Amino acid sequence: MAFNMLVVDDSSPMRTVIRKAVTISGFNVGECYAAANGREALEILRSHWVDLVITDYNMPEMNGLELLAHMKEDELLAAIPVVVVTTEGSNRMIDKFMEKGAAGYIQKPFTPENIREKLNNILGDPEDGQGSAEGSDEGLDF
Amino acid sequence: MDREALKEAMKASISEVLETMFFLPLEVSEAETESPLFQVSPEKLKCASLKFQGPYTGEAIFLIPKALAGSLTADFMGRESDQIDGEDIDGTIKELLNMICGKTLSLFEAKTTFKLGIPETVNPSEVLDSFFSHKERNIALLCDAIDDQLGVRIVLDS
Repeated sequence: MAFNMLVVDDSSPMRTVIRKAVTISGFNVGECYAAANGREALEILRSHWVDLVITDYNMPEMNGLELLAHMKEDELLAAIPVVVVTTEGSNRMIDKFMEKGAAGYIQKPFTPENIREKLNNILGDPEDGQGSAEGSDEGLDF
Repeated sequence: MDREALKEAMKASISEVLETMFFLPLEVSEAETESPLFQVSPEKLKCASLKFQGPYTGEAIFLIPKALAGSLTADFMGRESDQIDGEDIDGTIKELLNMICGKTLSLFEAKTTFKLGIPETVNPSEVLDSFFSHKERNIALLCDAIDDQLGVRIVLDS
């Protein structure tokens, strides 16, 4: 079954790369929404069905941690799994994400395998037929 | 500040980011004023800057020839070079610097947290003049890619 994903990053190229990395990992992405910061993400989340949020941490206006906190305070959004993508590698920062309720984190730079491994834990392995389609035809070589 | 440790963290981060996400093998060495990158006209360069705060505060700078920035962006986004625009290129070099700087600081001071600013593009001519200034708190590295060079500088506040 396809899942709807929201990618939140102030970098348009990085949003593209994340979306493609998820797709080539074999996950069956239905709608893929994009937001440039946490505030835009909340607007999308309140008007569209989203099954997974992948968010950058360091963004203008509202960062990934603030987005996560807002989602956890909203009973309609609290259960949506959030994966934080970050360059911040300190244990303190990672602990902060997990304490706030992140489903996982991915450290930049990442490979599609890193994304696949993380999402397998959340959505199930696409090769087991969970959260997957027959793979992507995008022919990506990222 | 352990200058040598910061330099090694920068080298490791530059290699990891460019090889993992851009498939660009390169050799990293200390930059010199005579290096070909610094002979290129500023109009043919792109530059990004990122400020950070924490146990040390300072700024990271990324300098790259426009042509190389374009091909890296196309590869990064999985598109043909005629399918990308200036905004994509700016976004890519800012993200590249963000990853290099974040990774460098994580390796350099693993137990503490730095606050990274938002990367910005800056005028290369403003950067070229000061790329080698403040030698005692400045690390300027040059990355030799296949046909081109790019530069990364971290300067700490006094």
